[in-house]
Amino acid sequence: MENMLLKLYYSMKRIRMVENYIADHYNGEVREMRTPIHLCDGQEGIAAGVCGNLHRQDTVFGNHRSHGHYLAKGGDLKKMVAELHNRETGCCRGRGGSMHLIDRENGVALTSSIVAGNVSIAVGYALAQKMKKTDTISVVFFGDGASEEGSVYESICYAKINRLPVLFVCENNLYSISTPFCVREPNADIGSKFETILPVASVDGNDVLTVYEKTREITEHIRNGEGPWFLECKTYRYRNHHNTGNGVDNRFRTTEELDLWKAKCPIMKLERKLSAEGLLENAEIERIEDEIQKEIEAAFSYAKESACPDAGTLCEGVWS
Amino acid sequence: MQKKAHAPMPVHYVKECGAKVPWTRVDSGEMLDSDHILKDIKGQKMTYTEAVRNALAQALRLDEKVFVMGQGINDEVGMFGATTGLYKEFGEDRVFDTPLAETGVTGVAVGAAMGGMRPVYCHNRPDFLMLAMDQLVNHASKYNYMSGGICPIPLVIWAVTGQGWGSAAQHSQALHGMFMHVPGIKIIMPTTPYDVKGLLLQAIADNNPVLFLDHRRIHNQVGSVPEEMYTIPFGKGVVRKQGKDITILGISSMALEALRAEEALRSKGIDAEILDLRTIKPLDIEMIITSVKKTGRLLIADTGWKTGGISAEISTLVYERLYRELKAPVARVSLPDVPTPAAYTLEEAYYNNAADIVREAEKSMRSVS
Ligand SMILES: Cc1ncc(C[n+]2csc(CCOP(=O)(O)OP(=O)(O)O)c2C)c(N)n1
Ligand SMILES: [Mg+2]
Repeated sequence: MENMLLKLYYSMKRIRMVENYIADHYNGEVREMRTPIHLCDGQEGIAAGVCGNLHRQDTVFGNHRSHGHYLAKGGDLKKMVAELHNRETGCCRGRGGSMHLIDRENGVALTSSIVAGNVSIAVGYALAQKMKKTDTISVVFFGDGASEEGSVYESICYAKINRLPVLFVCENNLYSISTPFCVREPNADIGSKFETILPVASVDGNDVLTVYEKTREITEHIRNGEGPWFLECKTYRYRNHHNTGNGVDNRFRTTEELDLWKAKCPIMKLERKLSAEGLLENAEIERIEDEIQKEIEAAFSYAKESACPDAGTLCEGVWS
Repeated sequence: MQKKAHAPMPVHYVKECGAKVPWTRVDSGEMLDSDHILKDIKGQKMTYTEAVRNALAQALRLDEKVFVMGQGINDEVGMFGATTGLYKEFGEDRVFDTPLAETGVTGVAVGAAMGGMRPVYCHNRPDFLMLAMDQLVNHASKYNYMSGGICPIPLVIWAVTGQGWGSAAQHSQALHGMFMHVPGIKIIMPTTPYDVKGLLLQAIADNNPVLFLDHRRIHNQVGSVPEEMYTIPFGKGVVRKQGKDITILGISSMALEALRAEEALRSKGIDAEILDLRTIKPLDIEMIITSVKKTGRLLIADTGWKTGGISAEISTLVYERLYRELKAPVARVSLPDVPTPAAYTLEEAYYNNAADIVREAEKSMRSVS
């Protein structure tokens, strides 16, 4: 368990540092990172906690805000950073950009920038696994906004009736771009919309341990062939919907609200716990940060040194 | 024709590209003052999106049946500036945010239109309209006909095609060619602030479903816009510049590129006639025929894909009527049949601009029949 806690800490920390590094270099010196970015800092507990339970062969399906899902699932950092830099060495050879990340070897099946477009695909992927009798599961991440799309309901019903191995993870960060939850949703949470169809759990997404433990319990059920689950994780994003600002500059939320949530930072929370239990010394934190920093810098160098796709290849790859 | 067999990119290309077009501006394209093509319009100078806002505000003020909705419509930016602050004047009952539920909410709009209102439903990108296809294609476009004319659907769907810096395959599609295939939906694609106001007011006044497609690269245009309400009839294109050698028909942002190309062509001794189609359906085929009769040559510059799209349709219409009078095959500048790539090296090769029009126009001029 101790080991697991440190793993979760490391996973979250790595996502946070990657997002911050991207933000610091976006729109700055690294002009060639020309891709619309949707950063996930603040929400790391969900990606880390859920993916901490997944095997390499399990697959995740992400959305426009999927740097964290990709990294937590074991997607290659270098290839992701190269993708953000529009390089041929990127995980999608520069064709996809930040919102379209794929690393099939490590179980990042796809991410879609069409909101909720990934949900039914995850269900179909699970159907294939059931037919092929593999014991892997599909996990799909989507937002509170996405849960409003009709296809989510259709997909959930389909998965349930066919007892498919899918975990629906809704990251409820209270906003769809700048529209707050309360003007779009009839209920106080998302899970209750679906609880007559399938088992639902609603947890504090900023508490990585809770996310981790709940997911472990749920994935056991799913792996046992008991059918799909819905996991709602309540959380908050620190940045604007896209780009690097903090939302306060966009005036869609107040500084007080942001500060309130910053105080609930999932990384800080675990750090405090680990320190209190004597499991994490300051020196160790520094060592971890140092290691991650080096990894990130190496990934950025790799990206910058890589070539961009040759324009002559524009028409290649439409067909398989 | 498959697109461009490019020579490999020179190594210094990447850096140059960054410096030449700072990426923050690539999205909206260069600014063009439309007053130099629309000489005698009197009014206040405003941007394209201000003209959209102006039209929406006047329609809301005039007719309590009009309402405006869409995702994020009331946020600080307000749909690229086109709806900014409207809710403050007209209230959140008439200018309101919608959930991320395009399929259902499009049906709601259709129902509201049937029920006697005049909804304007706004989207950031036409790509998201794919979720609304059932309501648009199977319902909105059908009921007037299917009801023998007793069930009109006065609905405006407004969406903005994206282009530039990594929008990639799911946020940049120009889908008018696809919608054009379906009877019962009008399609409008203006380019100047003056036109957008008149055409949007016409769209709101129209008793049919109207798909109003803007383009990110025209949002930066400025021009004079009269304060009074006016409409521009559908099915009427405009001749932006008279010429005798070749007809260049521009669609949406490509009409602006055609104007830029015209200057370059003039310096090469080619006198091009520039047409801006403005409305895709109904289509001003008479304007095109009249022009091509005069010049004998046609180049169609479109923002969409080549296959099965509007350029194919217009070419056929022209061949049907002017087969013997053409001095050269119809030339087409359109997108290759490839999803939009994210990487800027590929993006640059993918999109067309004035230079591509110039090249194809020169090629057409060289061909003699
Ligand atoms: C079908 C569709 N409609 C609209 C959009 C524009 N859009 C992109 S992200 C987004 C908000 C998504 O909110 P949510 O699902 O809560 O995810 P979050 O951004 O909060 O992580 C919207 C409206 C889109 N990409 N796809
Ligand atoms: Mg959200």
